[in-house]
Amino acid sequence: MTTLTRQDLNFGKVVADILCEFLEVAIHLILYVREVYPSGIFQKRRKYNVPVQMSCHPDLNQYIQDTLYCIKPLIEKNEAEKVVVVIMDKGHHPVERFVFEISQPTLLSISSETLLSHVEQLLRAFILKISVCDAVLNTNPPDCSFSVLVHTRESATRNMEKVQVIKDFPWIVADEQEIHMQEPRLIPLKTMTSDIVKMQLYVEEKAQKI
Amino acid sequence: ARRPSQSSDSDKQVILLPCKSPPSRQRVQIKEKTNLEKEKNDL
Repeated sequence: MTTLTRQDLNFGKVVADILCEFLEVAIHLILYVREVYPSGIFQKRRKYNVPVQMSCHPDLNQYIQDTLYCIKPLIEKNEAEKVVVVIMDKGHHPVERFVFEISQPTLLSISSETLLSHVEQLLRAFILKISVCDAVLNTNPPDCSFSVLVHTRESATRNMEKVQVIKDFPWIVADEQEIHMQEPRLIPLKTMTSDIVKMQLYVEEKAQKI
Repeated sequence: ARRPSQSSDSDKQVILLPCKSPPSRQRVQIKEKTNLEKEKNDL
């Protein structure tokens, strides 16, 4: 086994590429499974060797891509602690939060487990869990919308400034209303541990949605 | 191991979100209907 720092082989970029590709698929699937958008705008595709539903609506796809484009530099520098897909009711109150908690080791040990196929296998399990999560969640109220939050540190926001300008996609600090959920129910969905990234996904669900 | 971003206690956690909102369900639905009608007319 070889031990490397994050700078070697530009591992931060590799991890960010893998995670952003995964998050894109996961966000599309969450929006489909939780019926945030009509099922008619989704098409069946194959990702991680499993069928997934991906939106074919250009505006929505662009929005998700722009969001991830801005988050990517944070993941690359190991400065994104959580990426959260929040589903909100008509009054913009959160009813569900899909929390992706990301942690990357500062020293990377390269072993057979680092093989991308192994990481893909672990990510596939997340996708499968998301696709069946409606069985453990309550129905959402009609006309929900969504937002993507990123938990980072004040010092890290500088890294985002440049990409925000390039994409004309500004980010702001979340208001209490966008974060607060009264007595949420916690539903753990999946955890993965690999040499290059550790991630856990859980859902926080509002007790009384309607 | 501590993250580089957690190296200082004064470095507060911030939660960010995009200023822009995603397309609404209604907007997506209208576009979807328009596309379906266009497909029907094309047939």
